[in-house]
Amino acid sequence: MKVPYSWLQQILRSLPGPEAVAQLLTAQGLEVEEVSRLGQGLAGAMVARAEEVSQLTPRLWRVVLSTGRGEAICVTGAPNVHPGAIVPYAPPGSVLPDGRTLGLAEFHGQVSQGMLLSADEIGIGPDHDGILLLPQDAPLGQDLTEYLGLPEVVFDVALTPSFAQHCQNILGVARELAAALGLPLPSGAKPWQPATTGQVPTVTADPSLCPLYLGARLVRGDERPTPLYVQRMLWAAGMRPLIPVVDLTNYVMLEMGQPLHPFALGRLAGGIAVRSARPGEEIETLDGVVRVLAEGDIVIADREGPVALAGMMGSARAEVSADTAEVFLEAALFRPGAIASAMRRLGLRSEAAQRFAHGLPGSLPARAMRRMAELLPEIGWQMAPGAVQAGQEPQPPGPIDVDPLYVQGLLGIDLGPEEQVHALAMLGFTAERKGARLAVTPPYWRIDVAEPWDVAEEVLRSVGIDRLPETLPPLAPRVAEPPLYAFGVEALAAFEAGGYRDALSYSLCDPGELLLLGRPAEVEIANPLSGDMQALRTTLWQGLLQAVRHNLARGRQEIALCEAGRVFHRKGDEVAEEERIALVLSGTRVPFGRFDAESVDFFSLKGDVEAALGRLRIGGLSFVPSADPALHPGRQAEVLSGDVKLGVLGELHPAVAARLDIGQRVWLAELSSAALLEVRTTPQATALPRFPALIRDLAVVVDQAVPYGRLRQVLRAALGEWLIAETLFDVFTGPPVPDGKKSLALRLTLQSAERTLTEADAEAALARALRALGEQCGAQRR
Amino acid sequence: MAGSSVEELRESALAALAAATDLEGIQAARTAWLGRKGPIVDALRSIKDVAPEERRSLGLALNQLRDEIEATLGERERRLEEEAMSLRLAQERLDVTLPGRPRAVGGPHPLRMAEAELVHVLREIGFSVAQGPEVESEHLNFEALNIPADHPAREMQDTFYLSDLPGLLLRTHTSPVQVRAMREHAPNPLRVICPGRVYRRDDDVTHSPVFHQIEGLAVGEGIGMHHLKATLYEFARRLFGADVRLRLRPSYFPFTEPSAELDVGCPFCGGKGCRVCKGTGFIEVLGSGMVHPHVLREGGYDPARCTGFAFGLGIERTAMLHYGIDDVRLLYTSDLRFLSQFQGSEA
Ligand SMILES: [Zn+2]
Repeated sequence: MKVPYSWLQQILRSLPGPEAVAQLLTAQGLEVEEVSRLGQGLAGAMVARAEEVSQLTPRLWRVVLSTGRGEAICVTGAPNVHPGAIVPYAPPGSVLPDGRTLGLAEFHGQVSQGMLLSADEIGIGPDHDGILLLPQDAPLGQDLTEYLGLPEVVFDVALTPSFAQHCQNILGVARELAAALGLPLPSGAKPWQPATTGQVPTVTADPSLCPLYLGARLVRGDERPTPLYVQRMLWAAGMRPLIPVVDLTNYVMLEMGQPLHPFALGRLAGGIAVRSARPGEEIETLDGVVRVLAEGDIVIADREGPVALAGMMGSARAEVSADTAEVFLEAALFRPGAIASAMRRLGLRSEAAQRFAHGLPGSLPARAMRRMAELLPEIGWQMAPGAVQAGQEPQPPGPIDVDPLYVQGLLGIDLGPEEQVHALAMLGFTAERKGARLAVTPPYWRIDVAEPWDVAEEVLRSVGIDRLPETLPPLAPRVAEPPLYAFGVEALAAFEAGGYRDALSYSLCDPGELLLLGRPAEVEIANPLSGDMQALRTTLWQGLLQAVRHNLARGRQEIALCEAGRVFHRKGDEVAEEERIALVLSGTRVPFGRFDAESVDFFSLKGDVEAALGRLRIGGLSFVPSADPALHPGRQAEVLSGDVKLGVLGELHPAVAARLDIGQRVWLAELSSAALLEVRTTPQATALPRFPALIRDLAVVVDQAVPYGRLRQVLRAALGEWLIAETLFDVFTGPPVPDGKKSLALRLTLQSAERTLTEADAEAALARALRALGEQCGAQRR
Repeated sequence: MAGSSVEELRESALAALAAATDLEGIQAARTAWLGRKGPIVDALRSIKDVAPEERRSLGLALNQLRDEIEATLGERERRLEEEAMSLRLAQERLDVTLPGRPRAVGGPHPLRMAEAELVHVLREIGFSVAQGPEVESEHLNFEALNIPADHPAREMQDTFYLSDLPGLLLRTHTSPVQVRAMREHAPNPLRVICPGRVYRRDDDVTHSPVFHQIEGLAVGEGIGMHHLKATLYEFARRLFGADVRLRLRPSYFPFTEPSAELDVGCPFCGGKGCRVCKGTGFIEVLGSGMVHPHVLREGGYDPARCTGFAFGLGIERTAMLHYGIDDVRLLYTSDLRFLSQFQGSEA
C-alpha cells in the first residue's frame, strides 16, 4: 500500500524525517519495502496563468502565459488548457524529474519558451492526458515544488494479512506511527447520526451477505474542482482524480478504509436490493468486462437488475458522470468470505474488494458517512437530510480475559500487569485489572483481536520487539533422525567423488516422457501450470535426460550427473514416495586436450557404480541381465547385493534416445536409496595374509553365449577360499578362436591362510578349476 | 720383489687407470688391477718368496698401492656418477606450466551446499532432522496450521492439487512436518528441523514452482519468544558471521502468534541501501514466531502447559544470497557451465 508521508504529517502534525518514519513503521510490523520521492529533481517550474489560447494546428495550441513577473509563450499539445486556467509552467532552464533540461523549441514557426506540464511530467501521477490544472487561488510565479510540496515522499508498505484488516488505510498507519512515537491516537470521524426520513431509495439486504447497509442522498450545488490536497493524495496512492464527488469517496476510502460507492441517483430504477447473484447472472463492470456471476456473489440490484458487483465494482448503467446532479451514496459491510472468493474467482482485485475481503469494523460505514458529509462542501456538494439503513451495526464481543503471567511467559519479557495495561493503552486498548487478571477491550478499529495470544502480540508490538532478551532455550534431548536423510547426503557424495556433478530437476514433469521411459505417471496434477509439469515423476531419469539435452545443446560433451530425490507411486487412495539416486553418463570423461579424452561406455558406468557402492560399504554385488523397456535390451543389468535388488543400469534405448532427440549414446543408472541403506554393512577387519600368494594365468575358450559372470561363479566354487582374486585381462574373438567362441584370459591369485602353497597345490587347483569349467560351462583350456 | 718394482707397478697402474674414462672402463680396471688375478694380489701372494726382513715393508707398500688405486677409481667413479646424474636431471626437465592430466571433477549442487550448511549449523545448536511426505493431506498443510478454507493465506500460497486424489495436495511449505513431528513426540520436549521440497503454482525469476525450505520447531514447557530470538540470532551469526547486523521485525503467519521476521544487514551494500535491499539496508532471511495454540493442540501438546517457537526459510534464497545467484531457475537447469562454478573446473 502506498502511504504518503505528507498525509501522515497532516494527521499527526509533528513527525520525524521520512527515513526515521520508515524505520518506525517497519518496527511496528508495517514493513516499508520501498521509499519513493515523487517529483524529485524538478527545478525551476512555477505557477502561471493562461491568458490567451489559440489553435496552431489541429493538435497544437499556442498559449500566452502570465507568470506574475512577465509574459511567456508556450506551445502545448494538450487540449485542456483554456484562458484563465492556472497551470504549471517550466520556463527554459528548468529541469524535469526525468533529467531533461528545457530550452527553446520551435513548432510550426512558433517558438515555445519551455513547456506546460502534466502530472506525469511533474513526476507525481500517471495522468498524461493533459496539463495539470491548478486551483484558481494558486499564487502566480510561486515555485511549483514549493506550491505542490514536492518531492512527495511515499512509502510502499507491505501489509501482512493481520494488518490488512486495520491498516489498509492512512488513519490506521497513522495510529501505528502515533503509538510508536507515544503520541495520542487519532480516532477518526465519529459515527454519523442521520435523520431517517428523506427522499432516498428503499433498501432491502440479505443479512447473511450484507449485515449493514447505509445509504444517503448527495446533492450538487455550485460544484468546485477537487481540492489540490485530495488530488495529491490520490496521485500518491496511485489513483487518478476523476470527478470531484468520486474523488472524495476514494479519498475517504484511503483515509479510513471504508469503501464507498456513489450511484447516479437518476439512473437507479426503484428501490435497491442487496442479494446473492443468481447462477449465470451477468454484469458489465466499469472496466468494460462482462462478468458471469455465481451463487454467493453479492450484487446491488434495482428493478432492472444488478447495478454493481457489491464491494468490488460498479456497472456503467449507474455510473456517476461529470453532469450527475444527485448521487445515492452507499456505505456498507459485506461478508468478507464472499468478497474474497469472488475476488479470486473473477480475478477482480479492486481497491474496495481488497478492503472488504479482510473485514471492516462495524461502526466504520457510519463514520465514513459522517466524514463524507464534512468534506462535501469543499466541492460544492451537500449531503441531503435523511438516510436509509438496512440491517444493524454488528456489536463487538465483550472484553478478553487475559492472564498477565501468560503474556509474560510467552514473550519472555519481564512485564508486570501495570506495564501491560500501559502498553495496551498505547495502541488504543483499554485493559482493566480484575484481580490477578486483565479484561482487555480492543478499540473499535481492531476486530481481529479476540484471544489472549492476540493480546500478547499487541503487548509485544507496543513495548517493541527490541525489548526481547536473548536467552537460549533450555537443553532438550535430541531426537533420532530418519537414517535415510544423512545416508542420502553420503550417497550423493560417493558419486560426486567419482566425478559426477549433483543435478536438481523439478519433480513435476511431462507424463508423455515418463511413458516413453516405460514408467507411466501414476499421480497427476489437477491444476498444472503447464503440460510439461503435469505429472509427479516416477523416475529421476526424465530430469537427467532433460539435463543431457540442455547441455548437449550448449556444446557440452562431458556429461556426468547424479541426482537424489523422490519418485511417486500411487497406492490405492494414497501416494507412496520413494527416495532414489540416479546417474547419467555420456560423451567423454574429460574435454578434448593433450591427453586422451576417454570416451565412456557401459563399463564406465558400471565401474562408477561399483566404486561408489564400494565407498558406501556396499558389497556382494551382482549384475544380472534385465529387461527394462527404457534401456537397450542387450546392454542393461539389474544391480543386486546378495538377494536385494538395488536398481538398474544400462544404455538408453536407441529408439528412446531418438524420440528424445538425443544424438549420442547415454548411460543411465537408478538405485533405491532405502535398498542401498538396507544392504550397507559395517566393515569387519580380517587378519593380513601370513603366507605368500601364487599367481597363475589361465586361458579358456568357451561359447560366446556363456556370460563371464557364470565362469567366475564356477571358478569361485571350484577354488574355494584359496582364490583371493581373479582378474579378467583379455577377452578375444576371431581367428584362431573358432567361430561362436571366445577366449578369456584370467590371472588368478591363490593364497592360503594356513600354509605356503606349493607348485603342486597350484597345479592341482588349476586342474580342478579347468575340470569344473569344462563340465559346467563347456570351457576348454587354450 | 723390490721397492723399485712396486714403484714400476704403480706407474703402469696409474697409466692404465688414466685410460679408464667411463664406468665400464673403471670396472674393468678395478678387476684387472685389484681382482683376484690382478698383479697386486699376485705380488702379495709371492711375498713369501721375498727375504723375511723385506716382507713387512713390501707388504705395506703393496697395500698402500692397492688403497691408492681403489681411491683413484672410487673418486673417478663418483665424479662420473655425478655427471651422469646431472645430465639425466637436465634431460628430464619438464615444462611444469603444461596442463595437468584432467580428471572428471564432481561435486555437490549449490542448493545442497546451502542445505548442508544450514542443517550443520542447526544440528550444532541442538536440532535434529525430521522428514515428511511431499504429497500431504490438505488438513496437515492448512487446517492443522490454522489456515482455514477462506483464510487469505490460502491465496498467498497457490496450491497444486492432485487428480482423483481428493484431500491430497503437494505441500506448500515444510510446516506440516512440524505437526507430524509433534504428533510423534508429544508430550516430550522437541527440537526438530525439516528440510525439504515444497511446491507452489508460481513461475518467474524469483519464484520456482518447486523449491526447498527448512523449518525449525522447538516445543516444551516454558519456551518463550526470548528463546526464539536467541536461537535465531545464534543461527544467523554462525551462518553470516559474528558481526552481522540483525533485526527482528513483527510480522504475520497464520501458524504463529506473535510472529516476527529476521532481517540481516544487506551484504551487498553494507547497510547503506542498494537495489538488492531496495534501499532498506536489510535483507529478509526468515519468518518465525510462537507456535499458535491451535497448532500445538493439533500436534498433541496442551497449549496451557507447553509453548513453542517455529521458524522457516527458503533454501534457494539462502543459496542465492550466499553464492550471488540472480535467477532461481539456474538452480534447476543442471547446466554444467553453471554447476562447474561451484567446485574446481575441468581443465
Ligand atoms: Zn543493500
